[in-house]
Amino acid sequence: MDSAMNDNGRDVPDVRDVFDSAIDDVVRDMIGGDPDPSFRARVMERLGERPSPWRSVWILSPVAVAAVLFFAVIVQRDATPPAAPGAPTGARPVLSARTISAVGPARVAQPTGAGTLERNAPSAQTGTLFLSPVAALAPARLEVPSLVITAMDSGPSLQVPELETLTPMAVTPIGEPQGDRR
Amino acid sequence: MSTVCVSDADLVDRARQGDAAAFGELVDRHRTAVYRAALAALGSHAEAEDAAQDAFLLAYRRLDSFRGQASFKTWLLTIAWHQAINRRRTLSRLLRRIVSPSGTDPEAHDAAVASVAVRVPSPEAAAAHEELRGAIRRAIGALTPKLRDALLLAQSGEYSYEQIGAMLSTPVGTIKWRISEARRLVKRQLIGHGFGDER
Repeated sequence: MDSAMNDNGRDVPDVRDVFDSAIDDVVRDMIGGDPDPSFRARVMERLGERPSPWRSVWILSPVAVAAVLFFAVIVQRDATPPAAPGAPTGARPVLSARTISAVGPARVAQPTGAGTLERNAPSAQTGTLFLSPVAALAPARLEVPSLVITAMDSGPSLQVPELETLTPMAVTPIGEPQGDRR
Repeated sequence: MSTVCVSDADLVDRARQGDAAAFGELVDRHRTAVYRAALAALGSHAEAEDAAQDAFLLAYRRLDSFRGQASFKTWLLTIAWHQAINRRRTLSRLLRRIVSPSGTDPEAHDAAVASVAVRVPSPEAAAAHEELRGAIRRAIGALTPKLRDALLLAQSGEYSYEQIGAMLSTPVGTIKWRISEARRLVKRQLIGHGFGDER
């Protein structure tokens, strides 16, 4: 320990060393002590306990939600089996007139031979029919007549009468103003 | 069977095979170290005891994940520290909700929580009424959690720097700096309160 001499010539410990030892003492006090004598018994008692179900639920809930979503996506995918080549697209969603008009004639496929809308239909080349066990449980497909779009008749064009040409106005320049000028 | 000369690794093996008594022996060997680490983090004997128990239970459930890369004690202390810190955060959030709903700096709040916890009279604290010791306690309580944790763990004499580094997930060099900085700040506080003249 560093020390210094005081006026009487006696060794006095450096104040920082006093602080250091005091800090050590206080820290030892702060985290000193032993656990309760029954500590081991209490731990051993709790070894057989199952983890709190609340905690399990809390931990698992995001996982469970993700699993349910994943399952829902799979089921939805399987519930709409790809159409066999040439088969009518019975259970396809029916497009409303507004949707069709929004898509426009260029996007809406021209009526094919069967007059169906080819939207997201799997290609015939990849058309191996995949039926999962879930899809097998799905209700029978609804047979709904396909949507037929007939071309609209072009109406008479608008007749706009030609406007009369007005005769040009003759404008004469105004003469020099008359009056006093300073 | 006597377990006096059995190593921790052997006890862990036996505990993994379902020997509860072997785990009980591990509890006996390390309970003080685990308890004091929790006490350093929480500042309350009751909370520390609960956190230490939770740490042992968690360690028991995770025994299969113990690979022996570090000693069992270091592994256990790391689990105990995380348990204690989680508990401290929970307490801190609770106190924050009670004290100031507007929410302020979390670090400052942690310090406030610790300083409150430090003032909770333990049997030791009740016996220590000297003015200087009280001031040191307050100064330690006012340190940031990082500095305070390092100081308390190191000065307890229970843990090596490597163990503290593993517990705090911090390099040993940083731990040493934190301890030194913590001491410097405590001394500055003491001098500021008129406990001595800086030479």
